Amino acid sequence: MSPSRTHITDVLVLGAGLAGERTAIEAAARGLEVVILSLVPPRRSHSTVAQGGLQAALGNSVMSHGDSPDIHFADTVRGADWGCDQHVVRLFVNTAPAAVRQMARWGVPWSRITAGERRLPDLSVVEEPEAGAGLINARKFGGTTKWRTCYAADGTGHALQYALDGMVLSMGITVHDRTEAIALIHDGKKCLGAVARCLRTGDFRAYLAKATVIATGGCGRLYSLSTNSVINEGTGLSLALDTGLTCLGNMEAVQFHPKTLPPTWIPVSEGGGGYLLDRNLDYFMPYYQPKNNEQPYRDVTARRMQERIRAGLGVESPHGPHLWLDVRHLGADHIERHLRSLAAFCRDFAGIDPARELIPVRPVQHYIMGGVRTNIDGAAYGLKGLFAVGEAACWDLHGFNRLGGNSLAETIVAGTVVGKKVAEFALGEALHYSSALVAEHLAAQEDRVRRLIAGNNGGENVYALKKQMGRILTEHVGIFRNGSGLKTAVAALGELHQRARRVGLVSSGRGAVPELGAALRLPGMVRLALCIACGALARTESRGSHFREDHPNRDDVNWLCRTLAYWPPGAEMPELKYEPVQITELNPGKRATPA
Amino acid sequence: MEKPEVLGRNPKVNLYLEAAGMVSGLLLVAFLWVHAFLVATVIPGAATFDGMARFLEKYYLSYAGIGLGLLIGLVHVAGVARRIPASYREQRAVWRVAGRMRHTDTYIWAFQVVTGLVILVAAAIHIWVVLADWPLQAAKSALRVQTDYLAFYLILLLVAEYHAAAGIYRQLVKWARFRRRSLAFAVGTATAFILSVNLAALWALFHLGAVR
Amino acid sequence: MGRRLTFDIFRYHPFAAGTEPRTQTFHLRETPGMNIYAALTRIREEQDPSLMFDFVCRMALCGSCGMVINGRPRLACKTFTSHLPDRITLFPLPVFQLVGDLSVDTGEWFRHVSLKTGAWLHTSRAFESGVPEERMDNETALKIYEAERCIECGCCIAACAKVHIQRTFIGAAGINRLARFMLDPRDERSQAQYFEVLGSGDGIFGCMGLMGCEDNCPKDLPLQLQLAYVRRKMAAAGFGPRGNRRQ
Ligand SMILES: Cc1cc2nc3c(=O)[nH]c(=O)nc-3n(C[C@H](O)[C@H](O)[C@H](O)COP(=O)(O)OP(=O)(O)OC[C@H]3O[C@@H](n4cnc5c(N)ncnc54)[C@H](O)[C@@H]3O)c2cc1C
Ligand code: HEM
Ligand code: HEM
Ligand code: SF4
Ligand code: F3S
Ligand code: FES
Repeated sequence: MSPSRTHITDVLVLGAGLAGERTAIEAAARGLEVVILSLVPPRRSHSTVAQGGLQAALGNSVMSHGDSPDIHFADTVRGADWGCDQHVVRLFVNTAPAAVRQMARWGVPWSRITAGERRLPDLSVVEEPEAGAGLINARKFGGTTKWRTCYAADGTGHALQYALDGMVLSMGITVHDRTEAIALIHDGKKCLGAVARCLRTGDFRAYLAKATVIATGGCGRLYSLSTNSVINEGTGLSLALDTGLTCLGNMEAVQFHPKTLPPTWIPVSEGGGGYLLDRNLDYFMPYYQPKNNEQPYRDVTARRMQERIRAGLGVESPHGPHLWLDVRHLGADHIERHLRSLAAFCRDFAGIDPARELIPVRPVQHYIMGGVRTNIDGAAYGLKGLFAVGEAACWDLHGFNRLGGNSLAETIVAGTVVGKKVAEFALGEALHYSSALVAEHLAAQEDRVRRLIAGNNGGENVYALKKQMGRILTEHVGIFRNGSGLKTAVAALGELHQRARRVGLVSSGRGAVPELGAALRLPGMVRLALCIACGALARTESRGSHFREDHPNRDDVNWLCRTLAYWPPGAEMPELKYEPVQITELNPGKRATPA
Repeated sequence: MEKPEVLGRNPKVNLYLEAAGMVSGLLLVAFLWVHAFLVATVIPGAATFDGMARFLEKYYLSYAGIGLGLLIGLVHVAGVARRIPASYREQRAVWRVAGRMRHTDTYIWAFQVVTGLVILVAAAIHIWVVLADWPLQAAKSALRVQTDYLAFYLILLLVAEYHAAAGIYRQLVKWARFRRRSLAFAVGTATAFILSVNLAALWALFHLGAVR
Repeated sequence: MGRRLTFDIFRYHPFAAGTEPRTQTFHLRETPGMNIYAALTRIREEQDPSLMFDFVCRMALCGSCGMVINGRPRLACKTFTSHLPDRITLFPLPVFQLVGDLSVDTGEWFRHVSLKTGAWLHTSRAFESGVPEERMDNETALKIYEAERCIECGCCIAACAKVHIQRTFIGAAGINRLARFMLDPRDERSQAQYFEVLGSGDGIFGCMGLMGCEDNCPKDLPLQLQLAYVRRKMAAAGFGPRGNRRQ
């Protein structure tokens, strides 16, 4: 089998997105040796596609005057439908402004306030006073009381990622890109690092570290339709789940982006200035109009849209039914200047001129609020020395619905907070491992590969199974869920889980052949899908993005709690446990959209 | 980290070479334009041309001009030589990239090298011929144009003007604050003008009755 | 029914022993809205699962999918088959290290250039939390952003004949990246320091103004103007008094 090499370091970070790099910088700044692994070069991480911006209560612009961490706190908790951890939310909102300013110091060209008249995306005009000129600007996002979304033109995630990666370079932090972590190394109590596969050569390596951080991002590509980057397959979550010791929190909490462009499902956000129309060109969301200055939560818009589609009022197309987004009234000039990326996406990916034509849109999977369950320090439950951060984690800032802009903010805030804790842990820790244990973990993975190449397992096609999994999730574990659909999904996914272990390769499987990578990932992905489906089936209430048609109301008496999914070794189904949700400041109440 | 590519020890050598290539090129363009107007004095008639020639001669302007021109030409060839892909393999690489992408500006540069080499040979012949039959005189010039040299001059003219136009355009592309489209337009207009002056002069020389 | 498309695809796995570079032909029925991403994914899933290529964002934002499509460097996710003839040839970007088939190591190349040129914000000032941010003119921010938009896809590098002659030349993307810091008032480097990394033949004076970069940049970066800006600055720094003043 391929030669194995061992790398030893203080801190091992799995993932070079915003969360991973921010964590790495914080640990390296305390003198620790850090190694980052990533599927792709850091600057290609999914984080670079986030265009909208991030939430931090700076309160600079005229539309954000009076904003404060307290208001940000209330918006976040309400948006989460009280499903979040309020300790974490408090820490987050208090830290976010400094995190944003720190990024300015590292070079992010935040868009700034210009004194004088300012034209808003919905064509209204406000006057920015001189006092704010040159400070970091903010724009409007759905579900926020004040304008709080800081942005760098139309490339916030990109600008953040390049600034952080510049710091990573300047600090001499080691990055091994095209390297995929495929299993954690642990001794039952403590995490010791990870086994990784080189995506250039197919070779295995062992990475040993005092602290290991999972920052592998989301798992949107479990679904057949998703806005996520194609590498977002949730492998980091599988690593944690497969130890049998740590758990995933709230996996049923999946967010759907209301307005995405077929057939590539790129989100097209128009800043609240557009109208949604059905096949008869009726405005079907009377309150979803620019003039009343109100944007509902994403989950609400997505449900209204899906209702229309299910009522047969969608427009038929080769890519399934869709609705229309109308921004024509904003005018070509305004669209070119203020909705530049929307215009570019429409032109480049759908051949549409949004100033003159309607834009086809439809809701698809967008974000997972769930992830590796951690405490407020980012430490994973169940294994010492294992941390998680960013979209891969269930730090539980987002509860059952993430506010737009809170996830980018989470990456840099949690990166700072957790990075410090990781460093503290690693500084007080010595690395003890037995080489037999490492060899055993390596051998287990090499054995999987050997069996796959030899065709010992069976003849199932990995891509066919993956497609089937995606379709099951989209159909039955989507925007609307109900008991019978979820039961069907659980049964079908259970069967897929069996078949996923009988995959046979079509290709030789040698070297870095992509099919082998897919085959190695698939069983873990199906287990994640099962965690989502089982969690959704068990949760007989509706909360945030999790909407049960057969239980349409929130049930605080029975379900003000967090789902924890474990996968005991050899099990066929996840084991679900629950823990209470921390309410410290804001008691559950009505979840009206802030005006 | 690799050491940056430098010629010699002075880290500014690349800047100096760049400047030499540009300044000499632009001076040669100026020379060519002045040259065009001087030859164009034949349009009103042979007398004007001969008067001009005598005037230049009297103040040694022709010798100064020729000497200076040759010097600048030398600097130019030396300055741009580093740009001419040294080996055959490199030259091929450029043509391959230009060809595969069918990319205009890359072709323009490739032609710049070719036209430069043509000029080197043709201008040398031209200057040799003119100097061998010194002093300047409209009648002698007309004789040359009417007997053997018309085609030669037409080719030299087109090649030199192309080279000069492309040279100015490329310099502007490298240094100016304006987009290429407007640069190309400005250079094209100027070239069309200077070309017509040159052609008119050639026409006048060809039809100069006195010698026929 | 859609057209029958023919794909001639470069195949070679340098890390697998005993393989030779070759071109392999695949056929595919065109579907509505098909781009090269969709086509390649289908070929991998239905015809040859050993085919290597790189996509991440599939929305022209991550820079992973640069490849040579019918002779020109393009982002494959942004290239739709409806704009192409029936026969489509796909080659990996030249210049960069080949990983396999259509996949090349642009990431390593850019990382190397960034390290060589110090492509990050140089500041000696420590961050103080709790203090309002320093002000910046929005126009300056937008100017920086205009250069910052580069996604390091490598199309401009592959399209530059000079890089093919001189592999140490940092190319338009490398120069543009430095321009971004020259424009940034927060960066404390002097013009003389910039001259050290940009004034050589690997930097701005290696650029011959061929413009293959600008004409092939999928993000439409204003590379001509950006390169001219750096050239002027560096000429001023090179010829100017031996000062270490900024601007
Ligand atoms: C289209 C779109 C637009 C968005 N816009 C916004 C927005 O405007 N505002 C906002 O707040 N949020 C937005 N989001 C959400 C936000 O982008 C993400 O939540 C956030 O970027 C996640 O960052 P991350 O660092 O956790 O993970 P990622 O950026 O996804 O990084 C994951 C990293 O892990 C690596 N990795 C993965 N698996 C492995 C493995 N097994 N081994 C080694 N490495 C691995 C990857 O290579 C990558 O480097 C958007 C999301 C989408 C899909
Ligand atoms: C250096 C000294 C030069 C002198 C003294 C000189 C002189 C002349 C004279 C006298 C003529 C008229 C025709 C003739 O008499 O044959 C002429 C024509 C011409 N010369 Fe030159 N020349 C010089 C350099 C050049 C150079 C360097 C070029 C081009 C690169 C050039 C290009 C031409 C052309 C194209 C014509 C044709 C007439 C025209 O188009 O105006 N000459 N030159
Ligand atoms: C009348 C004579 C000439 C004129 C007016 C002229 C003008 C110019 C100008 C303005 C440039 C642009 C400078 C630059 O891009 O750096 C240029 C470039 C060039 N010239 Fe000339 N030139 C002349 C003769 C020659 C000769 C004799 C050669 C012979 C080798 C030559 C070779 C080149 C080359 C190779 C370049 C390209 C340099 C580059 O683009 O980097 N030129 N010329
Ligand atoms: S400048 Fe353009 S072509 Fe070059 S790497 Fe950047 S985005 Fe790609
Ligand atoms: S193509 Fe190359 S030579 Fe300069 S103008 Fe662009 S970098
Ligand atoms: S896949 Fe990201 S740019 Fe094409």
